[in-house]
Amino acid sequence: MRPPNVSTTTLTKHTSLRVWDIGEGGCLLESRESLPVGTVGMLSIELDGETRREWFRICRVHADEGRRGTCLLAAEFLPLTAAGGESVRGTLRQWRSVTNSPRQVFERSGGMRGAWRGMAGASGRSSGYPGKFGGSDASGVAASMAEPEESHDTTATSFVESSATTKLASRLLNWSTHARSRRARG
Amino acid sequence: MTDRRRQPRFLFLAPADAHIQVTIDGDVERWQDDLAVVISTTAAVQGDEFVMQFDSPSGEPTMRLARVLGCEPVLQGEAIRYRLHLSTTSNPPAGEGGEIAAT
Repeated sequence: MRPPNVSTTTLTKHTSLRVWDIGEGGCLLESRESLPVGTVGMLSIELDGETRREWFRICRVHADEGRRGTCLLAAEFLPLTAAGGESVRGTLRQWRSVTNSPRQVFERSGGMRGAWRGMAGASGRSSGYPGKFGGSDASGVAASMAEPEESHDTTATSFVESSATTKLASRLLNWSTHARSRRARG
Repeated sequence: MTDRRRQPRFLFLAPADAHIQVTIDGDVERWQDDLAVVISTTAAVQGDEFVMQFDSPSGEPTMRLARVLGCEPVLQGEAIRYRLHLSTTSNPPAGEGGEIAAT
């Protein structure tokens, strides 16, 4: 039965994914399905034992279209509301005020461990530009996402997590490069 | 450069579980019994589940659970849209889908 006068509707979809890193400006998501650049939605994540929410916009996607597997989504947070205590931005702002020195490694009560990272080596775009993520640029993007400044860290913890991120990014990005090469040969 | 990352990041030692809600707009093309056909700007995969929100005749927001039965691209003018065939069921569980509207 069609309700009368219904001509428009909104469709809300819930998707589970994983977050690799997060900051006041945005985060890096790993999802099994790709989202188009420009997609707007709300992220919910548990930080310090509390659920925090933040509006985001997908600004880069690192995956081949149509490939089955995980892809990396770069999202920027949209400051549509004030960064209150229940927002991701507000929580991270509090954390930053706690960490006095850059690259300080700490453990949170909510089970999250984080490494405070300096800005010197940080790279990435927050614009709608889809970025370079194919062919000869793949390794460069992997390096930029993993932020090579981590190699200067003296803590073993930071080194391990940096390696893990690098491996993930390299595997994902090299996979697309190899797939393209195979397709070209075949 | 104005588009460089301005804030440093916290890096998770193990990726943290999270979930997202993405809302898309749709034009209802047909609605018969529990089957609805909606024109959307975003494609969907068969089996995807959405929470469908619309205003009831009395003006109150109404929600229904919608499962994608099929998706086909259509050309509207010069723009590509997607015709979603949805199977709708009764109201979704409380708290699902209404969070975006509530914030």
